[in-house]
This record gives sequence, C-alpha cells and structure tokens, in this order.
Amino acid sequence: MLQIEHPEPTIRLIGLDRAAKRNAIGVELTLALRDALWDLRCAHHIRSVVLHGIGGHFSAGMDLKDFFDSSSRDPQTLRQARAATEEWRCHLIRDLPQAVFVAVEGYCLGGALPLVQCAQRVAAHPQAKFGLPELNFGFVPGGQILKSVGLAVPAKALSYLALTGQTIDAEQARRWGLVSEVTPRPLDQALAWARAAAT
Amino acid sequence: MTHPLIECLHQDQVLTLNFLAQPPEGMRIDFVEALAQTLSDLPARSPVRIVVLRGDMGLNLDLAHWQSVLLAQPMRVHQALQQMHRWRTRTLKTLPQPLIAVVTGPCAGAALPLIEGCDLALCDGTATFSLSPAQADWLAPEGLEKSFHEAPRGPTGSLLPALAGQTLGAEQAQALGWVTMAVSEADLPQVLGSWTQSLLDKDPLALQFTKETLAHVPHMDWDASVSFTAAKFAEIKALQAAAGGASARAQAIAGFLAGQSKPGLKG
Repeated sequence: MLQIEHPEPTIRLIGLDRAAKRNAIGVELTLALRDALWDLRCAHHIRSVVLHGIGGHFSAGMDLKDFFDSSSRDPQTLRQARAATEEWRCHLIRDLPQAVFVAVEGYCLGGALPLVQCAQRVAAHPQAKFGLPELNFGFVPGGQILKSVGLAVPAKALSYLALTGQTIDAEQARRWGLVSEVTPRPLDQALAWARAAAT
Repeated sequence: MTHPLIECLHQDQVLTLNFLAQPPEGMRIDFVEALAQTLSDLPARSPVRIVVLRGDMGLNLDLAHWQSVLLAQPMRVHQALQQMHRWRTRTLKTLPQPLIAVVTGPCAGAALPLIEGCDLALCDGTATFSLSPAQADWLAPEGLEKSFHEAPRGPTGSLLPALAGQTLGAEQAQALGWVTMAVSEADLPQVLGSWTQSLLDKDPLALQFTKETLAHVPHMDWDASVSFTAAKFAEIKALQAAAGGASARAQAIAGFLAGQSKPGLKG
C-alpha cells in the first residue's frame, strides 16, 4: 500500500501505492498510513518527508467502495479503519517533527487533501486536479476534510470546492494557497525542498 | 415586506434579489429593514434552492437621513445596524440555500458584509470594492473589521489599501479572497449559469448539510469536527432514505465504480 524509500539517510519518501485504484484510500492504505506516520514520529534521524502518489495520481480520495454504503467489510474492520483515518488526518500528520513536502500529479481529491494541506510546501504538475467531489455522489464532505482545506484556502474557495464539486487545476490551487509551485516535475521539486530542509 | 428597490425574480428554483439603484444620497433605513426581512423569510421559501444577490452594490448610507432617524427613533437605527451586523455573522450563513453574490460596478458600504456572508461571489472587471467614509468614521466597524480579517488570505498588510480608503479592483478582491472568482464581463453570465446549474444538480439535502458543515466546522476543534460529521452523516442517511435519496446515491456510486460516470471530474 505504501512504497517507502530513503533517497538519503535523513529523507523518507513515502509513495501511496495503489495505482489500480488511483491511490484511493481504502482500509489497508489508511491503516498503513497511520502506522507509517506513527513510525515517523519516533524516527528522529529523519528530517524531511516527501509524500507522493505512484502511477500518475496522488490520490482519488477515500475509497467509496471500501468505506461507505457499498462496503463489504465487516463492521469491526470498518470501525478500525475509520478511527485510523481520523487519527492520522486530525492529529498524526499535524504533529510530525519532520518537514513535510508533497508532490502531486493527476487527481488529488477529497480525503487526500488533508495530506496536502499539512505539508510545508506542495509541488503540483500543471495537469493535476484538486477537488471535493463528495457532493456529486450525494455525500456531504467530511467535516475534518473541510476544516483542513479551510486552513489552506480562502473561505469562498472552500465553499466553491465543497458546494459545486468541481475540480480546479494546479494553477488555481496555487492562487488559492493549496499549492506552492506548479512544475512539470513535482517529485523532483519536492525532493529538492526536502534536501534543503534536511541539511 | 417589499421594497421598491429590491426586485425579487424567481425562476427555476433560483431566487434573484436584484438591488435597484439607490438614491444619489445613499441607502435609507427602510431599505435595510426590508432587506433584513426578505432574508429572514428565505428559509420558508422552500421552492427556492439558490439565492443570487446582484444589482447596485454601492450600498453607502445616506448619512443625513440616518442622523435624522437617529435623533427621532434611536432604537430603530440601532436595530437596523444590528441587522446589518447579523447578515454577515448569522443570517446568511444559516440560510439553507446557498447564496451567490454577483458584483458588477462599485461595491461599498453594507454590500461588503453581504458579500462576505455569501457562499460564493463572482465579479467582473468593472467591479470595485471600497470602504465608505461612513463606515470608517461612523458605523460601528467591529463587524467589518472582523469580516475583513477573516476573508482575506493575502500577504500581511494587504488590507491596508482598503482600510486606508483606497478602492480595490476585481483582481485584488479575488487575490484577497473577498470574491471566489473575477471573470470578464462577457464570461460572467456563463460562469454564473454553470455555478447555479451545478448547485441545482446536487442532492438538496446533501447540499444543505454541506453548507451547514461549512458554517460550523471551521470553528470547531478536530475532535468536535469528527463528532459533528458522524452525527450529520447519520442524520443525512436517515433523511435521504426517507426521501428515497439513498438509492440515487447508491446509483451514483455504482455508476462511478463501473466507470459509467465521473460526476464533477471532467474538468
């Protein structure tokens, strides 16, 4: 679910690795994320973290099939997965001792946005798409996701994303404060930031 | 309560409140009272799913008129000012319908907190934004000051031009977060149409709950937001099931999973 590498001893590169589902965050991925973030809290030799998506997309958000109406998971597993999600989304990712950088390609939607909001800097490919599409499916965007995105973008931008369900491109995301830099090679840029922060 | 300067246009579940041109001296107290009443009545207008505010947004006060009313009916003036304060802090944010403000031309005075209270705001290149001298010197400024502190996300000091009485253009207003988007005059009708259609396409209950979540969650701590979301999810599931909406939601998800539809992801 996660591809973890160390391009340098003080830098941890974490790739969301569920490419067949556009890295949608399902039960196993959310549990793996929780564990990886706990591990980072104790990894004092790591100075910088880079998050990215494997396979051309950062993440399509929460896995609708795994988490919601049509989930075939047993209730206990779902409860654990939801608790793990709240734990990393609301607390773990916000309390990391390391500098966090994110590289975004393709979709970055819904439940993936808190990972972006928590980063110190975000590099995005010009074709990357950001959005809160929950309402398009008759769902209400999670309050924690709205709270998180609202820490990065103006209130009217948050309302636009949440109420219309439309995606925005990387340049608009940069204008609204979600993205630091638009570049054709976002991972290289994020790694450059990570190296600078780790020295 | 109706007012000759507030034109109510109702079409396809969209209510447009069109502000006609104010007298040259400025806005009088009866306009504020009528607008407050109109906004208060909106929740009961169930066929209305979206509210658009547009027209003359140069809502500066007719100071001589307000002074004369203040001398004769001080409580009336205080109540009207309180109502204007509530537009931003409560009335607009708690309406079940999403609100879209459309700004063309000058926007000043009482229009600024109105726009800040709307969910979405669209302006064209003719729009200008400014604090009037009346607001700076006479009107209790605490509402607007807070409003401006919350709305903008520009660099430190970016509010100074507005607070110093300068006029801001459409691009500056967009950069500060006062409006969602600034578009050209030619594009404005099409963009407004696409926004309203996008909102009309949504499940009404989910739309209302999303607006409610937007109004409350940013001010909660993380754990409270988790509890709020859990309660709201349970509530909307029950209400959608009662209204037959759950099956529509299941269809939307099934269509997405089967690759038959990508709602909202075309852009």
